[in-house]
Amino acid sequence: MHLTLTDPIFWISFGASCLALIAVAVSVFRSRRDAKKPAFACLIFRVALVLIFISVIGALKFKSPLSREQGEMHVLVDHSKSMEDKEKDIRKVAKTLSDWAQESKISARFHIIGDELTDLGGFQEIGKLPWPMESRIGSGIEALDRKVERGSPAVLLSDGVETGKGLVSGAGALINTISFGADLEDDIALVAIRFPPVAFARSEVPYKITVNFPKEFKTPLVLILKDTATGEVIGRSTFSVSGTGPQNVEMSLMLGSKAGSLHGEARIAPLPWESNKDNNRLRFKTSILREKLRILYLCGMPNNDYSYLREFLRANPRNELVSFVILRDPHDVPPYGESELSLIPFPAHEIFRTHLNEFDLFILQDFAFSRFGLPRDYLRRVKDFIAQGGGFVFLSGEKSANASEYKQGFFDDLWGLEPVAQALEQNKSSLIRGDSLVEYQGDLWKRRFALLLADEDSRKAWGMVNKLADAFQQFNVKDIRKNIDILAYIINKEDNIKSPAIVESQYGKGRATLLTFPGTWLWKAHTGIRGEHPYLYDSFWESVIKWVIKEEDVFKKDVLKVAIEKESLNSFKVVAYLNPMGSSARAGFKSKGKPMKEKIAFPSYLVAKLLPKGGQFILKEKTKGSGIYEASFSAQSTSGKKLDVRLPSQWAGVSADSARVIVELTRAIEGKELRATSDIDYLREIASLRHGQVLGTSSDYKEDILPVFEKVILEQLQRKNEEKSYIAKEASWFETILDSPWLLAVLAMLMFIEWSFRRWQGLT
Amino acid sequence: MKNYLFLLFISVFLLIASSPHRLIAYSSDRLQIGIISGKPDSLENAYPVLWRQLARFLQTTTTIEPHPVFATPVTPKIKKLEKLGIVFLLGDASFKGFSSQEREILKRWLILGGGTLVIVNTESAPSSGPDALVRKEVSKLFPDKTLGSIPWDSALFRSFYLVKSVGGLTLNARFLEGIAIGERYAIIYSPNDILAPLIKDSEGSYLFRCYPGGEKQRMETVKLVTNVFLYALTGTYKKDVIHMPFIERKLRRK
Repeated sequence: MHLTLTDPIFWISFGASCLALIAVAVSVFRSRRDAKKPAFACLIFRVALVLIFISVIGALKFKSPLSREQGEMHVLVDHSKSMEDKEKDIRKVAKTLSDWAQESKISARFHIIGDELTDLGGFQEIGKLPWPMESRIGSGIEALDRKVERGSPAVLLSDGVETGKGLVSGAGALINTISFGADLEDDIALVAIRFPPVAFARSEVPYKITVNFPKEFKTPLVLILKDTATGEVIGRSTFSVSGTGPQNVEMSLMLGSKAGSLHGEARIAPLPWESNKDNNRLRFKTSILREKLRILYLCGMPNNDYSYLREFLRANPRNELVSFVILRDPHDVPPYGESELSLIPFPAHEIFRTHLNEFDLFILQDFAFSRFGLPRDYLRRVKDFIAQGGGFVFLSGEKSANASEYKQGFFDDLWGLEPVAQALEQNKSSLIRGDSLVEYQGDLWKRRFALLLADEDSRKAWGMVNKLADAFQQFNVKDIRKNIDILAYIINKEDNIKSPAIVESQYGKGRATLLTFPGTWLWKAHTGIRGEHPYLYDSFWESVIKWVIKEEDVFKKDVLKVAIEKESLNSFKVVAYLNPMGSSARAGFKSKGKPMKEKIAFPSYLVAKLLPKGGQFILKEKTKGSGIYEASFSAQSTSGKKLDVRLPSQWAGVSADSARVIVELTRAIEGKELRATSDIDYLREIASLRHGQVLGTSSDYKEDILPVFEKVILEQLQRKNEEKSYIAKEASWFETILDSPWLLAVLAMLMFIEWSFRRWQGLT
Repeated sequence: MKNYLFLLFISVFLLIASSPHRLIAYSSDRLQIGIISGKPDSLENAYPVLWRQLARFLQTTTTIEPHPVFATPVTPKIKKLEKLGIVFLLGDASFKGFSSQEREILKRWLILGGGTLVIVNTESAPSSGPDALVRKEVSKLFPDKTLGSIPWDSALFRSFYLVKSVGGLTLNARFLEGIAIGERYAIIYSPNDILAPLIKDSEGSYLFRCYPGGEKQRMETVKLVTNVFLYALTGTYKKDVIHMPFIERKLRRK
């Protein structure tokens, strides 16, 4: 047991001891009248003086960590936008803490957190500063560390919504947290949703929600996910919570085959008794990629257009191509018999009735259903395919231009066009033939097809090929709707007939592009033989396809795209996507380059490095041939850190440097997570990292403090003082005396009293 | 006098109108091929009537739509090749090879322009002359590649007919050779003359006998030539997975 100068027991026992000794001395002095008596009495008296002196020294050496006059507690107040509506609660809690500190004789200092601390004179000043300030919890804690001694206890009043760089673990103040916005009595709230920034079509994507609810709530809840662009419900799950909120719930969503940006809304089906039903919903977004693109390509006759486009599609390892080209008409009679032919029956039924919806993209080139006696119903199925989200490209040609099934209900429904000429005689083509000029429509064309080249180069390149079209199917524009764009017209020079050449439209949930003229293969031949802009053909078709499958807004002209997701405080996931066709590095290519017919093989890994001074690691390909790479990595802090992702070496004519992407971690992650009204997980992480504790919610502190609060704070103060005492123990007794001059003065006074008594009594 | 002038005018007009060198209305959706021979700018090559007959044959046998001017004489110049996807090179005694500029243009057309070059040795006798020159030119075009035999499971031998032997006027070689760029053969070389067996006279009878296989050899030749065109226009289509089981079954039955 340690006694201190503040303990009454000490003074009582000390006083009693002194009195006892003095009484003994006096008694001895009076009772015995011999020569030894005065000396014996003086000895007892001197022993009493020494005991007094030792007691005083010992009291000074004993630690007094619970000396409450020496304790100081810091209260960090989150004064940000998300806390503004909780000002009243903040003041109540701050008052409670301030009152307790005063009673406990602990000094409570209040600060507003930000990049620097703003000191307050007291809890009364909360709310007097303008709302809102930036919510920089991590920065605020670091600012506190610079100001106070290590191990100083602090209490953070916050909802955990962090807009700054986040917390750095380290030694400094001990941070305890009191959460705001976390306690509900008559309400369910969807507090947060964490959706990965990149997800993959046809796969299950895990995500996490944080739900707040009243204590002991047990009713199962229903979460509904909706695509805000289409209004379609994309997921519905039932889940349960228990105990006290807020609570994290792991969920998963099965994605369909469609790619592109997904803007969604998550909503917990409200219960009738809820006081606030607006906080049941949150928005989220993600980019959906396809690991594989399933393409169906059906062509009515073999020609160079088919050959070139097929090779272009096959060159991309991401494409799963199923193609059919009609090699023989019903009236064609090949010599030598059927047994010599390698031809297979065209599986029209299987394609149009069963498997069409399994594809992401359908390319139909110069195909006349009536030639083969195929029902018109198949055209309706094609339109249904598009309406349900499929991508469709139609290339007109001689055979389709003469086909009656397209006359009504196809071109007009999809593109608002009406075919002009229909051949009345067999073998007479409906195509307009002759010298023609393609007229690109300014900004629309530039937006779609000028992605890979600088403007001047782009103009020259397209100028090289706009005179090559020599046949087209003529259309009148019947109905210009808002969702239809005519990107180019074609003009016959002989009679100045002007007709739409390339038309795009949104149809239901899908997209459709029409080319009314054959011969885009000539662009490849024309530019390739000159060695100038040989990728013009590739870039055109790449852009057409990306638009119809809705991936033009995910990845544009970049060769390499990187997305970073935060998995936990210091753990991150990086997803990189390699685009084999988009390459600004290939602009301006001359005579050297990649042949058209070679298949592009993706590298099996990418290389990443954390800058500055970080280790190198590998991003592995998610599945072979996908061009999508993933890896997880750790970083103590995002502040000032960058991630450098690059190819391992030159690839497909692209140098490793030109496909390199450097991403600032902070910028990549900020704004990606949609934090809502509170983030209790973050507060728990802070407390854990900084050796503190979660001390409850704001509603626990409106009237009084919780016992755990007092226990934790006092223990932390004690520990802090123990460290100081420990340091002090190292000093010697002699140094202690020298450090305390008044001690010497007491000793001198006691000695003087003793000497005076002896002299007065005539003692030796 | 006036009558003579009128007749002269009509004759000139008809002469111009019938000139095969004028492309009346070029259409990129119809097939047109180029012919490189020892006599440029002229169709006075070894087979003047062949191309018309071949166009007719393709039109009645397959869904290919030949251009009204199916074959046009060309040289390896930009303006000549830029609108063609298939070019035949007739390797005979009059062929003297290419200049370096012509070679460069031809190479770009093959690699970047997507073209297909079909070389036919039209010398019926086993002669090293045209064959050696062809090999020399090809090696100059592609110094890092050599002509190699095209395997029998190539899509070339299955693109329309199932072809099991190369055919030709005389069977100097038993395989085709080629140079592949990626998966496709950009250059296809037949050491045998596979064009002569297709020529018919005005009564429809074949002009030349095939040796030693006779009509069976001619049949294989016709099938192979048909396949060459379909291969140039469809690529590796017949190697797609969906076709394989059917083709394998048929081959086993044969």
